[in-house]
Amino acid sequence: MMQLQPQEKILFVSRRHWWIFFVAGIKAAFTVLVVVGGIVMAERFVPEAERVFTAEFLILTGAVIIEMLWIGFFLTVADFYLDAWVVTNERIMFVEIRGLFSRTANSVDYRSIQDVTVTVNGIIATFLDFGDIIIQSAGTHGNFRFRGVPKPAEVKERILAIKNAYLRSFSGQGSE
Amino acid sequence: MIVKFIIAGVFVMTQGLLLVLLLVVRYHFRMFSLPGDERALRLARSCTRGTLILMAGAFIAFVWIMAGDIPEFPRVWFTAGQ
Repeated sequence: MMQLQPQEKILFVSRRHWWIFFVAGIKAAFTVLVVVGGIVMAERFVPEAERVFTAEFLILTGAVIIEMLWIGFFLTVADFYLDAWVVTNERIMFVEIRGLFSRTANSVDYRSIQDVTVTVNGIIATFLDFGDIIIQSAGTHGNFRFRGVPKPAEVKERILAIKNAYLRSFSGQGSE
Repeated sequence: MIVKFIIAGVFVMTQGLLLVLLLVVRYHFRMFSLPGDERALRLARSCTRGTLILMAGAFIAFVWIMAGDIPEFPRVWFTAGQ
């Protein structure tokens, strides 16, 4: 589990837009259609197939397909839910899961942030208001890109406001 | 008989794969959730319960098909194109 510093507070968490999740669902539904369609076509056009595709066989095949869909759904949910930007009062943390056994977790301090850029590409992204946010950092990690953020312009403004507040409080502490 | 062996092999492999994927999902939800995020833990529990129920259902279907009379591969599948 991710650990926070004792005085650190989570201000907001940003995840990907629901459209990204929806597209993954469409792909899964298409895969199921291909499998079911293949069985239906085989039953219709291969005369001997009726002997193999008995009720028991179809029920077992259906049960395994439903199992795979179920676990595939939760893998997609995990990918969607756990890929997040966590904006705290001290830093921004990025967690990205790529596939089953690959993940990236980084954090950038507000003092290292040099610029925040928003890019919105395509007609769907424009209408549904989601896009990429790129944070240019002065650290060794370079740029951070988070894809498919809902309301990217608003998120950018919030990040810049939090950064400015942090820098003001930091300079205030230094002058005391 | 060979058909039953093939079905049993495929079934065992898919159930094993399913268990591995279940463990991966649980690991992800437990390791990469935020502190105090109860929703992630609830999702992990739902995934576990649902998977175990579906596995039980698939096992019943598997026993059913194994107990029945399964036709061998139709001869036409092997002789097609000859």
